[in-house]
Amino acid sequence: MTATANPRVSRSPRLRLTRALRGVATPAALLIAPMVLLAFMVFWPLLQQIWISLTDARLTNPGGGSFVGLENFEALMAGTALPQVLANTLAYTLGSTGLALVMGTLAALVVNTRFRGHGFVKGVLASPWAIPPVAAASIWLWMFSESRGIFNRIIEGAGGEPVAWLTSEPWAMVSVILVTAWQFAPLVMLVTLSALKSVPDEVAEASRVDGASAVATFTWVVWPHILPTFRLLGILLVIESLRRWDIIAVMTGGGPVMSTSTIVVAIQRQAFQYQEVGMGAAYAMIGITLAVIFALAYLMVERRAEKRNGR
Amino acid sequence: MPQLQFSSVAKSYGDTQVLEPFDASVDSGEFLVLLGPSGCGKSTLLRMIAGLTEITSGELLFDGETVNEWDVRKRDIAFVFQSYALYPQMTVRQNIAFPLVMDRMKPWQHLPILGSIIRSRLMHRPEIAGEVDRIAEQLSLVPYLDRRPGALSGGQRQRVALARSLVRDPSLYLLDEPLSNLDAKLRTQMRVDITALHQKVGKTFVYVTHDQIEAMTMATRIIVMDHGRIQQIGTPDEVYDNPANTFVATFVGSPAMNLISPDIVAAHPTAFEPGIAASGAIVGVRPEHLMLADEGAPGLPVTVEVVERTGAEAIIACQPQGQEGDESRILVRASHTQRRVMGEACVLQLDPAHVSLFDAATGVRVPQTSTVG
Repeated sequence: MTATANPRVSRSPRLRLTRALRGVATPAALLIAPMVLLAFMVFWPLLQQIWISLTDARLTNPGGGSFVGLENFEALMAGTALPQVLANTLAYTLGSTGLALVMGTLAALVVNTRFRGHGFVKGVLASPWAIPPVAAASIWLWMFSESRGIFNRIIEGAGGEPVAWLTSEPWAMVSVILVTAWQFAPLVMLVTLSALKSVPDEVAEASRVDGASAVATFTWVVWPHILPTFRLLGILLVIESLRRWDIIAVMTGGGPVMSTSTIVVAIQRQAFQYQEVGMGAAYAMIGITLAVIFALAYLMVERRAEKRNGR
Repeated sequence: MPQLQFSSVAKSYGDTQVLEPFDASVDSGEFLVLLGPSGCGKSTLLRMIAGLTEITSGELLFDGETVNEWDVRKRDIAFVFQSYALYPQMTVRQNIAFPLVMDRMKPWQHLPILGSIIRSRLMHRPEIAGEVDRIAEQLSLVPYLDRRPGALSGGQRQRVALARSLVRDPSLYLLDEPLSNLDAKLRTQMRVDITALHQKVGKTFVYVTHDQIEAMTMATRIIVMDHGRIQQIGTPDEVYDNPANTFVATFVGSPAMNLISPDIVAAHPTAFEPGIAASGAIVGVRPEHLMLADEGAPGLPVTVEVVERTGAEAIIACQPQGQEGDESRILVRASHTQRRVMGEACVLQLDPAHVSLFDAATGVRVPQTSTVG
């Protein structure tokens, strides 16, 4: 009686099973391909790397090292190179991310105002993003040249002393940070610009009615609105800077005297120049740990913001 | 509390004229309603008063002083947006306090972090905290003060928007369709609240709406607009009783004023006053100024098409005999005790004291001293 009264119950068990399967099957089918891909391209190499970092493998026979426990890490801790590499990495990562965020946001604010030719200006400001890093670094190499570079020409023209941009401390680090930020800034500009465009006009107008100046409107209305985008850009750029190798390799090669050696530069030198793959993998583990710390910090901040917004 | 004066004020975007030049003045303490269908330019006019949209030509004066170039802040206005435009990242308390905090912050204090500290200290000051509490109490917002707008219902958001505009005691209140997002019951209640508020603060209100009921119930004066042109300026009674043209006649009032075409009038000359029948004009009569009599009585012979009972009254749609279609249909507002059935033949009688005549070609009201009386 009840079965006929409720058409849902009257369906056969087989039909119900099919329906239940269908509910699971679609997401599973969609997930399977990326999971397999991740397993082969990320998790497996990661496991291999953890193993290699615990061996004394050399480049000539990367898979053939023998297990040495934490010896590689102990050697790193005992040496003087690691603290400097870490300091360089932090300086480079935070410096280029911070500078790119500031430059990109300022550019977005300028382009967001309507003026004649703002489309052209936007295109020009966005162009560094399209230039391959090695090509960009080569152009800057030429501009930073001590004898022929445009910067020193200008300084000399103004009666100053030429600067050894790429071969002296701290200018080498300043130079690579500047070039990296120059490459990142267009991305920041474009993403921030779209965030700025999504600020509802009426909300900005309401703040004017409420007596806010242009600066106050930015601080109290626009900035909170674009902050989540800004945080996301921050973590993306931090991760990107942590693995940036090409610009430093072309411009300074990690020098002078290791002053621009970041983790990736150190990995490359250790694994491929000194051929100590085990040692290089140990460096890489430290790099991954750094990236994970930054990512966790981002997630924590994001979760707190979400909780505050009551979502 | 300024007296507003519009002197040939107009607005155009490039070659498109969205508001034709017009003159008008609004006295201190008036509740002016800008009424018209969407796209008629009423919101543009409101934004021009606020200083959010530039005036293309003409002059807007506050107490005799031209304010065309005045910044929004200098105009000392409150503006309630249709979308409420609340600050989503701020709590209700911070939203309401925002105008007060802005008034008290120095330009250099708007720096991030430092600004937040200063703002939170300002919000604890008794003159700000007290004022926010008082307004919140008045608008029943106390339980929601620490929520964010995202966690509020439409009606609550609307009240927060009102509270934010009230907290600063401005001299001019501008409201852009503030009730359009609310359900019918809440709308009726807020209508009463806003009218009460106007009476209490005694300031000038300019209120934009497309809802003629809102206009009739709240306004001390109405400006009816259509296609960027002012159609009529007058008190609700003037606009209702003496519409300036057929647009106003049909836009104000529900159901709208009946417009009887000159052809029908000519076909039944004995049904109308001699002056009306001879005028060749469109005859406008409100549904409540028509009576249905039994067949055989003097008047316009009609057939009952639809009877709509709304409780206390009935709206009876009739068709003059020999006519068909929506154009010629005439609506009669009758007592619910009137028992008419569909298809019944009756006679329609007009109250000659309440007849409006409109020029058949232009739709403009025709003076009718000779016909009424």
